[in-house]
Amino acid sequence: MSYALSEDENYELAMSLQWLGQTLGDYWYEHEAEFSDVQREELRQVEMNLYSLASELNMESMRLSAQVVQEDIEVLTEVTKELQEVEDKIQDIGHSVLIAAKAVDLINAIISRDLKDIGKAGQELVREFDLDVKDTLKESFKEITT
Amino acid sequence: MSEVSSFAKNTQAVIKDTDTIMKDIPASCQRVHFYTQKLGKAQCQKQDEVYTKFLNITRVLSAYSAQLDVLASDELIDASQNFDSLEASLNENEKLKPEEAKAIVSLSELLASSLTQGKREDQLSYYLYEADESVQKLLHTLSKAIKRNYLFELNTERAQLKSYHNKLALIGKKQEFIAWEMYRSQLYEKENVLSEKIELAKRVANALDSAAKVHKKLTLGSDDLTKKELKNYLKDFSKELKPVFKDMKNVYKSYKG
Repeated sequence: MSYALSEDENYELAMSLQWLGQTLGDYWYEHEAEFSDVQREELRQVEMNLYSLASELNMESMRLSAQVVQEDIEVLTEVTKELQEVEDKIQDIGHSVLIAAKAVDLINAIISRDLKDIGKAGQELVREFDLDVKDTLKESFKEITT
Repeated sequence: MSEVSSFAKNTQAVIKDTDTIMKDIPASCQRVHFYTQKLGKAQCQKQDEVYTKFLNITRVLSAYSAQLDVLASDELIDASQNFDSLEASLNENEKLKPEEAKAIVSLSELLASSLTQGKREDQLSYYLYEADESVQKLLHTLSKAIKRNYLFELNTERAQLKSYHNKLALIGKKQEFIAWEMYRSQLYEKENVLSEKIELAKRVANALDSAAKVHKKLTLGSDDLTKKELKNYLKDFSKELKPVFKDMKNVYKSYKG
């Protein structure tokens, strides 16, 4: 039967292994005269393996903590997308002012009955609409101005 | 608005530092491979995987803060050029006097500005509130990962460095290992950098906790007491961050493993 360790259990086990490694490390160094070179190196390798295992468990603990917030990552991604849409809408207000200016140009041209100016002002207005107005509306403006 | 902008800028900065710290996790694995004296390339898949997962968290927080900053910025609604264009068009109409054209433009400007300003404030309050629970959790996850797991990795690295140091010290003592003196100073230098990183990481984690506190405050009411508290929180947040930026640059850039 296998049992998956929790984030905290992984971390606590990692701490115990790290402590064991440090204790072993201090032991072979402080009692160096009691061991041959080969024995000491073997103990050092055991010490290193304990650290490596401790690090592995610590990483597993960290991986599990990131997994828990997956849903929050999605929520924040969605909120950021919606904030971007709000930004676009606000910028559209600035664009509407520009459209109003072009519309006034067209009205001025119509009042003056200057066909050349009507054409030019109409085309500019259509160009501004290109960004955000439906095709049907654009077509009707084209009809008026050509 | 300026509070949101200040929060967003500081948060982006602390997230960048968090990224640097997270990147140091696989780097630490590579460094300790040297002390184990095993042959071949270090296998750090688990560290790489964890780094990628945390990169997702820092990226989403950074994008969110950047977007908040754009919305809180006054430059967003600077349509002055468009209003100039409208005034020029109205002036061409012979039936309108210049002062009448100017009055129309001023009124339009006032309407557009109150519309956009109001919209921005409403939308920002709404989304700050909507995002708060997730922002709290994500910032807390980052802070905990640094205080707990990253410091654990650095302490393990320090233990491995000490073991390697002891091994060389014994060789040096027995065989009059000439290069030992040179090695010793290098190992002490590495030890110092690890200590500096540990101190810095604690400060970055505290700054992440402060970011969470400020975000929570931004979602609360706009009464005088809340505003005053928010200002103090922001001041503390900025004060905490300034020296961290400088030290991060020195410690993480000068040290190549």
